Amino acid sequence: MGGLSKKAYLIKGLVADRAHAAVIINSGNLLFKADTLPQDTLTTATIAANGIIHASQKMGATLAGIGTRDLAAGVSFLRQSQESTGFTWLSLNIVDPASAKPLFTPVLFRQVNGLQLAILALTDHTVFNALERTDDFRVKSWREVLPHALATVRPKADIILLLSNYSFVENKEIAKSCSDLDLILQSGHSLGNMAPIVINKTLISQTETRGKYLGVMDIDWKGHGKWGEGSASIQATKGSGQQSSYTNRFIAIKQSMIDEPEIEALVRQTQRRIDKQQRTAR
Amino acid sequence: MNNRHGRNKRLSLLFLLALPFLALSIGTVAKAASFRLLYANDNLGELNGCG
Repeated sequence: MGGLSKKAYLIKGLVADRAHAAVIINSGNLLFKADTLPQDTLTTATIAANGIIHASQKMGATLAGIGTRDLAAGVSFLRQSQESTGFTWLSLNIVDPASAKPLFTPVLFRQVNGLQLAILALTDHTVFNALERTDDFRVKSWREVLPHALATVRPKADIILLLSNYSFVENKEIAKSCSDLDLILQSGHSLGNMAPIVINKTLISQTETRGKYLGVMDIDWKGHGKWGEGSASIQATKGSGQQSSYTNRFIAIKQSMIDEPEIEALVRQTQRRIDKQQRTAR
Repeated sequence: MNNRHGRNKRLSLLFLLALPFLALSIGTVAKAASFRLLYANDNLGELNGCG
């Protein structure tokens, strides 16, 4: 069977490593292949999407940033999934056209090993302007929402993580102009596995697409400021023991890996539902 | 006797004056901890994606 059940088995092992408290992050474009879906594939695509959400939750993921493609089945699909499953969809800049208030959770706080982690997400607004499909929502530019949100969040958070659906060029601009940000995890604008790059005080990274890889970043947090690459002990030998440091690797999800039985069953069940739908549609 | 009493009083006063600054500096010391981020992006609806 496929990637989700193998990824689940891998995550189980990485989470069980007691030396590292773990947080699982989907930074965006989790659910659909394209920004818009042909009518004849909408039902099967949403069956698969529901299966992915349930599998993600069983793996321990509780949140995801909203990429432009996550909106392919409409805002209502994500809002309903949040209500029925408790899975949190994050976006700071998808707003109600009338009230201009966020339609999804703008920021989420998480305690991890005694640290207060603030997680925010941005959806690429430029795509929607091109699609002209904004009748039930509007996507604001990051410049309209991010500086104010960061000013509010910074005093309450030890570390601030942004899940950004913007391009790397735009994310570099965000990192340069928003010094409060500690980390950006990208989605969209495929660049393959991108090892972390430090811009200003922000570390930017992303993985390959289509569930082929899992990014594993071990962070030794010493406070907001400069980043150093390498473990805490390596930093100490460099004389940089007071700055936060990281090690990062990308693990390929291979066919030879073991399947996690519960997720394997869930994926099989989802696949059966998709097959049944396709048979009745013919 | 009076001299020692006066010195103790000055020290106590100095300590009381320094307290807010001590409290502030404790508040601004960054927390240190390690943790692991397990992350991915652009699953794009894949149930069976492998690398």
